[in-house]
Amino acid sequence: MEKEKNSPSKFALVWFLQIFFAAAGGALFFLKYISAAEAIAFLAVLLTNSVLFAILFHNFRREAESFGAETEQKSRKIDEFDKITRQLVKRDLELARANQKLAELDVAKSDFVSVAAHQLRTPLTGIKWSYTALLDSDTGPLNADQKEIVEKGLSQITSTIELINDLLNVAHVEEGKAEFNIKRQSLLPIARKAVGDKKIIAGEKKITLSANIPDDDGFPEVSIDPEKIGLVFANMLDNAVKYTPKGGRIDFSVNQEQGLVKIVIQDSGIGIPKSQKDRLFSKFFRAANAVSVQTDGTGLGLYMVKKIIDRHGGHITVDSVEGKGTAFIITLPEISAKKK
Amino acid sequence: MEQNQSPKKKILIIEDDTFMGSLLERKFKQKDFEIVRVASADEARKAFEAGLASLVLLDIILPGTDGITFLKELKLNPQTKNIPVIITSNLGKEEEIEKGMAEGAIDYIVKAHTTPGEIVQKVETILGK
Repeated sequence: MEKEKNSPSKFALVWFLQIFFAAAGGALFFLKYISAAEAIAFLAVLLTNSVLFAILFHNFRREAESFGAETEQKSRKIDEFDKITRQLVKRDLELARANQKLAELDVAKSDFVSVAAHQLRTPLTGIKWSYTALLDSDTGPLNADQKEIVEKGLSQITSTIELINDLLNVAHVEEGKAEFNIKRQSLLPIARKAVGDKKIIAGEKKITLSANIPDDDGFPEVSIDPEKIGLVFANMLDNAVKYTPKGGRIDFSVNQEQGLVKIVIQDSGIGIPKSQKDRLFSKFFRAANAVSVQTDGTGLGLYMVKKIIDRHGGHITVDSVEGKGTAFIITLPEISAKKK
Repeated sequence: MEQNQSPKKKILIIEDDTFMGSLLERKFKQKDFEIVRVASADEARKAFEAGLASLVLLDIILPGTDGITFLKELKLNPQTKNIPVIITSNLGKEEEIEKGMAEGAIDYIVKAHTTPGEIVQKVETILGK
């Protein structure tokens, strides 16, 4: 409001009026309309006004200068703000581009693994099916030696396919977090499916596979990638079947314990030598007794299982007595109890 | 429907790997199936023009139209939508299997994990032979 009062146009008007009155006073004196004393008094009033006006003008100038400096400072700040905003927009665009590129790379990597799997499996399938055709006597009966050779070849091919599957699974697990599709859900259906899927291979070895899986109602949910946890259960049960002799027993149980969901896979198999337990979850490690009973393992299964469980914030431990059996215990943090 | 007129069940094998296709064909013929074997979706369309099949074995990676696209096509066509389709592929990721099943396949077989004999058994079960 003060600035408006002292606006330049008002100063100019007052200045003009003073000059006008000075000129008018001079003219009146020269035309003898006023006396010298009256002219001096008139000029004194004008002079006093001029002094007051000069003071006012000085103040106005100071105000104007201060206002100018403030304006300049504000203008600089606006410029800086503008610059920062432009930089932020630029960074945002760069980030969006980088994210897009990463997403593309992720897809490319995933596609690469998938295509590599396909390309590796296809010729092996051809070889496997050829050996199978020979063993099925599709081209005539084989003698004992021929049969033995073809059976060994088929076993090698089957091991190679298994190795490729394990390597691909490990590659998936090691790919990075983007590959984990974590969902909040119950793991009970996954457990039931895993046990159901292995009933046939367990039955072929006359192994009793029993499941103690609770009802869904009220059982806590967990944060899991269902595909990866399915892979864990399948792997653990495959191992249990592999390393449990004919007529043995496997118990798969799920329960809830102190804020954790606990899965136990207990078998009556060959067990793990005490001295080798520490290396059990290392890549390509196979226990000495495992190699002797089962030649075609890859040593990648338990490594992958531990990686998956670790990524879920869970734990896997083993309790085993060589020659008597093994129990693998997996725990995952529970989220909440489902309402009935 | 042709399959009702013929005593033999007709299987359409869509497989671009001729060697694997021939091994499958041999196994099915041993079990008295009638086999039509093609290497692409285009050839499969022509085969359907000549007559429908009781069941289709469908590979995914094919020259031209891929297996999943062709499966969608079969399921949209009123004449072919009820024909059971088993996907036989060496793509085996969970999402690939889920995608195939979601498009209406009756089963998804990873070829490397099975044998022609097991595929024939599966087909016999599905067709109730």
